[in-house]
Amino acid sequence: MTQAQRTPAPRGHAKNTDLVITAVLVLVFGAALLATGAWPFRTALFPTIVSGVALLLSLAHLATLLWHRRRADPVEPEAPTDAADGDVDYVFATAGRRAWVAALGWAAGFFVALYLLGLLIAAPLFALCYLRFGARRSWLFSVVYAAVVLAGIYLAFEFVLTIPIPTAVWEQS
Amino acid sequence: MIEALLASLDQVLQLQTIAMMLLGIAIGFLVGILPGLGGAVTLALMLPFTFNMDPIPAFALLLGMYVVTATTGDLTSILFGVPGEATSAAVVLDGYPLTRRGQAGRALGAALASSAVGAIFGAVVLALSVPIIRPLVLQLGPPEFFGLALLALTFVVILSGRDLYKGLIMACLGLLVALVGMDPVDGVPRYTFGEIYLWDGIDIIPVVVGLFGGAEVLQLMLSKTSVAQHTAPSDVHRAGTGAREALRHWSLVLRSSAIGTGVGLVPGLGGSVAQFIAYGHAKQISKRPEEFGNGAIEGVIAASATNNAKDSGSLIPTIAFGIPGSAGSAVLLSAFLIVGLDPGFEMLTNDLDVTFSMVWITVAATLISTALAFAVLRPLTKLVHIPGQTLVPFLLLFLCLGAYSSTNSFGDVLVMLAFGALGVACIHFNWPRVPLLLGIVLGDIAERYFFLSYSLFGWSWLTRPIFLGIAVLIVLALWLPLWRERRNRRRELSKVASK
Repeated sequence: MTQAQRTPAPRGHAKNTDLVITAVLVLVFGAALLATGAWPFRTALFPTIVSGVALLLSLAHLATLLWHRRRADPVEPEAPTDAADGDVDYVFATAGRRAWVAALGWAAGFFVALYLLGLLIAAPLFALCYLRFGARRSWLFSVVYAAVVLAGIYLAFEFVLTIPIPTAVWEQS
Repeated sequence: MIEALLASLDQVLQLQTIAMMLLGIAIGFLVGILPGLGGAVTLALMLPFTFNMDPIPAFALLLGMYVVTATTGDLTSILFGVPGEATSAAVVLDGYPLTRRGQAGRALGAALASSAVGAIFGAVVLALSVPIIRPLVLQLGPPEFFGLALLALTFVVILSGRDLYKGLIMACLGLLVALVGMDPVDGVPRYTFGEIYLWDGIDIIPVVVGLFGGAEVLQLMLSKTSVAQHTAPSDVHRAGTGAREALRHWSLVLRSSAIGTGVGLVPGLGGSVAQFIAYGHAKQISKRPEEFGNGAIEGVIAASATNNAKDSGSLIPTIAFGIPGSAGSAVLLSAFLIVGLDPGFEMLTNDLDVTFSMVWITVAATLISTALAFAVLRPLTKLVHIPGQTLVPFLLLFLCLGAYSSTNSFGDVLVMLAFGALGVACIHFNWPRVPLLLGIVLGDIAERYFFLSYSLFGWSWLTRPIFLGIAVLIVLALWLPLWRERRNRRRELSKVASK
């Protein structure tokens, strides 16, 4: 099965996202600075300096981006990157929407199962379902993998190390 | 001193001591490979087992485990892009890209060799400097420690590449994240949004695991290929090549080891700082700095050499004056007290053989674990040819356990998820992650020393000579890359003009 291929976003698009992200950070740092007003002097001293400096830097960055945008500066060629399949940023940029939805769905499913059922059930269950239906491995492989995960967690954490592992939500109350 | 060295060697070579050391090495191997199960946490778990032991076998167990975790933590950083230890994050930057190019063996060989040299370097420095370090460290006060924290952040910002603004902004964001929680002075909750979970602040382990590991696991789910894209036969024989390259870069190894030992010497700065300072230094002096972040072997060498060196460095203030240089050495300090040792004068005179036994244990454990790691490299490098999706359940499990193990709270898993999402966003939109991480690591330390400086000296601490020297270094470190970039741009323009 092949991935849907997309070309990476053009440079102008990257500048627009930088603009949006920087604007958001200006708001975040501004809010952080405002929050320090309610604290005693010693409590607020360091956060005030850090958030103040961060706000100034973000505003300067925002101004720089807007300046370059207004001047419509010529697009600089992207520095050559290793565009071979598998580089993280390349994979993120070129994976299709369906692949993203599937990957995030599986990850979300794991953590929801973890919260509801605890690690001892969620981990082997996820391994079985993901390998069989997500990675299209055989039933035998998926079942054996899940059994190894279950045995490994139980032996290592419950029996030998006796280190707490995430439990089901109803066991926590 | 020579007699104490030989006497301690004789005690280390006893059967019980060797057995304890081997057990510690085995545990350390496992702990180092598992992301999130840190050396300091495991030290604390093993402490109760040392109650009835003699000092030297007790430290053989504890140190044997502790010194190995740094080495083996680098293995998962290189093979999976998931830091096995919080102090192995810098190795991911160039070790993992090498793995993706089918050069895992080369990266592993270089990491193991430089790590071994770093450990021996640190142990030698420990042996030589214990009697003389005290007056030097006592010259540094809170202003100087604050300056060193800023210097470490500066090096990291330089690592953020061409866009200095982004690096500085992310570092500030990291500092703010570190300030979440109860104010250590007045007990006022800061940036907690009414959540009791946040009163203790945000733990670094779920942050590291999420920021670096989350993106890599997601990438494996999306790419549907193996970690190594080349289908060439296992390149483990290139481990020897990697080791030889590390030895060829002997000056870089020694300098990085010195940085690791020096940073480990300063209480509270920690291993992550040492790795990134050494990494930043290696990038600055490299003839090919553009390769850093894409599989520069020098990056792997520099980052790996510091890890073990800093462990020995952090032992120096711990032994000499009972000031722990790191979380792990803080736990070791407890071990000193449990077995009846008094740090300071006693450990430098009457118990000097115990002190020197730590040197021998560090050297021996490193050599044994390095040999063991080379021996299992073949099956380890075969792991990277397994289809990536097959590793996903395994790695998700590691991420989850790594995050949860820090405080046994599901809140840490949520923090890990949040920073995983942030890490993905940083990669996708080309914002640097490393300054964010180091801002979080250094935030507490920086604020503590900043506040102490202000309390003790008012604002006059800004004019202290050593602090001013560090400030000059910071300015130079920020200015040099800008100057270099402008110079390169002028050269390119003149080339274009001459054509």
